[in-house]
Amino acid sequence: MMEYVNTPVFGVTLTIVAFMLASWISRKLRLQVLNPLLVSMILVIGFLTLTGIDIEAYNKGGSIISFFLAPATVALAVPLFRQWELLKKNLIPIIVGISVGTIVGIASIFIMGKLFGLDSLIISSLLPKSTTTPIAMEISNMLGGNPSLTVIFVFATGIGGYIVGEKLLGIFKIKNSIAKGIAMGTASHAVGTAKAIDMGEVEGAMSSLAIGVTGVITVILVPIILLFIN
Amino acid sequence: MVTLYQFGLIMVILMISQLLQNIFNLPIPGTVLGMVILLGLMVFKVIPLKMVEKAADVLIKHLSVMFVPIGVGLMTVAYLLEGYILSLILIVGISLMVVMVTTGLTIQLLIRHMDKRREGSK
Repeated sequence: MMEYVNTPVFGVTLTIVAFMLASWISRKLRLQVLNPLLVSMILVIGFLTLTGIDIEAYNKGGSIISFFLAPATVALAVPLFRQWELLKKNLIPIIVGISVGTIVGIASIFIMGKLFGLDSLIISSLLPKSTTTPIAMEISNMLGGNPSLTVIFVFATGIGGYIVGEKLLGIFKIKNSIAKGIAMGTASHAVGTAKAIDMGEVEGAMSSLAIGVTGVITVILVPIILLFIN
Repeated sequence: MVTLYQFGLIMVILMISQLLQNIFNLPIPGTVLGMVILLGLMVFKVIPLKMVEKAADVLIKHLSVMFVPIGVGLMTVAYLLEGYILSLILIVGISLMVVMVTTGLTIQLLIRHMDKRREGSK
């Protein structure tokens, strides 16, 4: 039995079955917090804990599923291209919005980090949290943070945006599809984009765009951030 | 077969982008570079939308499930955060909401402003 679990079949199957179950649960309960992504993570972790199956064994299949993230990111060019005219027409608001969001994000981490008395290693690891994982790890390294911690923060930021995004945008009466999509992507990168795609074609495209632009703007801001840290 | 060929094309673009990223040590990830390259190829009409959209739509539709194994893997290293967890959840939560709201509001206001000016000039 344990030998069988040690093949890719196990992780792939568990992930997909958990996601199916989770989709069904979240359709029944209709709670934003209980979205398929979060619920299936909990189901998989619960299953592994209960059966005592090693995470390494799960990852043999799990890594096959997450492998597709790479081509899927390239594929995000398609919704982006479909909205190309809309994008060109609103280029200035989009770039200004992403820059404002990125700067506010960095400033908020600084202020709260100092307020909560976090050490500079943790603050540096937190700063790139809204960018996509590979960019975030690189920035974390440059700032003297811990890239492994950064991965956790990046994912938490993504999941958080995935969960609260739709509701939060509603509360603040952000109804414009471009604004909604860019806000999701700027705050919560690719995970937020997965949610933005469910919200609509324009939202998904704009969120995809924001992943790249937020990363580039954050990279440009790093030397300035360094001045503040030292 | 069409979807397979389209998927192949996306993989070729991904491979080239990762190679370029590696050779030139670019500060953006290969996957994001691949997105930019594919977009460029479509904008300059080198690749028609029809040549990739089937596979791309399938991939994008299943984006959520691809994050599941990553999330599962990270939960096992959550012990790294011991002692800080509550303040970190607060900081990440507040910061991400502030970013989302300021970004969204800024863009919505600017677009409204531009639309008004466009109408005014008509």
